[in-house]
Amino acid sequence: MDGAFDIDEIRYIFFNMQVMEGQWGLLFSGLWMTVKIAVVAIIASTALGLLVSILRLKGNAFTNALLIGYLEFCRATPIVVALIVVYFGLPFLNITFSPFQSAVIVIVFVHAAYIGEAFRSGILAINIAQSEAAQSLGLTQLQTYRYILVPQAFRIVLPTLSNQWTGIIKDTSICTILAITELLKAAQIVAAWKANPTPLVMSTLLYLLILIPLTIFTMKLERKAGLKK
Amino acid sequence: MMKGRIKIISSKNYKDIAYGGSIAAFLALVIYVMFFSGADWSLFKEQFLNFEKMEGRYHIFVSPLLLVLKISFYSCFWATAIGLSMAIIRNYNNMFLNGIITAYIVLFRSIPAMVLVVLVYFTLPYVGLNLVSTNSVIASLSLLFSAYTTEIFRSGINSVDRAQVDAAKSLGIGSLQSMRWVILPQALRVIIPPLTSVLIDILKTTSIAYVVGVPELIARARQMEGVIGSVTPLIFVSFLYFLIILPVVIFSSRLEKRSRRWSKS
Repeated sequence: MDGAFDIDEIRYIFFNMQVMEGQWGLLFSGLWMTVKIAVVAIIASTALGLLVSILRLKGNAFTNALLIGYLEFCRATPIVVALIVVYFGLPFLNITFSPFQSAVIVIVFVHAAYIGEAFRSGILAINIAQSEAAQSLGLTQLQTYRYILVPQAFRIVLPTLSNQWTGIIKDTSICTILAITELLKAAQIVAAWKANPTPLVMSTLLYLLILIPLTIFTMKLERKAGLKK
Repeated sequence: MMKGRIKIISSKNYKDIAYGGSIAAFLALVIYVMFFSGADWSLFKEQFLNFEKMEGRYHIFVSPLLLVLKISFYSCFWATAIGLSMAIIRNYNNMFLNGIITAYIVLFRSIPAMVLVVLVYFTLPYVGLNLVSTNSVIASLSLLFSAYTTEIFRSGINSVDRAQVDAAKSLGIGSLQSMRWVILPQALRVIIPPLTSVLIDILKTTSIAYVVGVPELIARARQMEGVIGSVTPLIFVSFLYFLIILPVVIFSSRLEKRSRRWSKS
């Protein structure tokens, strides 16, 4: 760096609206793709996580060992590696997924393990008397989960859950290594074409626009949960 | 109808059935995938586990492996250092500084790692700040994870009984000294378990360095993949990552279990 920063120069480099002219379309289609991946992944991984947690609670030693293995596997596998293996590796076995499919598969697979663990601890935190009471009222196992345990667990794990959801939205940006034009990729394309980093800055602002409210929401929930303890 | 309800299956019996059933289902699945799903296993062996082609090439992975460890070590060091100092500053309860630190935490908890790495590496050169790709990754990871470590250190410091601080003060111990000798040693018990999970996250996130052209494990594997025409290097590298991270994962879940036991007793 030589000399002092010139505010006009900074505006010219990082916030150059002339560069962005006519490019917002690509950026917003990228944003739309990011939102699509995130929404599908959030819904699917939450459902799968709930299933995993109930399997963990109801299962026997064998299924438990299997599911613990699955959890540890997901905790120890970087998403980049998993994405590359699924998208670039599996076609060698004639198993081909589209970039969108591989993005969703990997993100759901990894995050469902974390969400499952969160739900499990949430359900375990509910007083055992509740499920006993439900049983003595003649509710079946399924009904106990549906009407008694899961709704309460949801409230308990909401901070962890929203943290995971934020994580899923953040992880969609990793999918830029696949041939998929999501927000970051779109920004990189425009930035390379115009030889100006403004699109990257704009895409970061778009990410922050979505993620900062979510983070603040999560932190508030966490604080509330902490106070209750 | 009533009969079905009254019929008693002892819970042990039920468990046996479930146990046997799940093993049978799993075996059936494995047998199906192996023999009846039409998957071509010779192809799998040739493409995924073709270690003959890898022979004599393993040394290529040594320097990228060390690079990954180096990036994780420095990021971990800086994240811990920044986190600790910000937690200590927060402890002074200065409104202005607290506001800045909270904004910092919200910002870096929100920004995706990939976006920050790309931003640091591709935009800073425009203002004349050329970081080597490795350093740009270290810088971004330190910034990102210091947001988490700050909160971890803060909750650790808060977990120490207020009376301890007052006692230290009444003994005439300065605030920094009481932090060093009274609070932190006790806070460590609460701090260490979540800190190891940050370490896991850092180790995993280093793989993002691939996008900015750091010659790390995945980049090398993909090069080799092109040379030998098999995905084996990629499988080998994912196994290496697994091998690095898994011990930390097991260590951290043990610590968590132990700390849960402590908090119960």
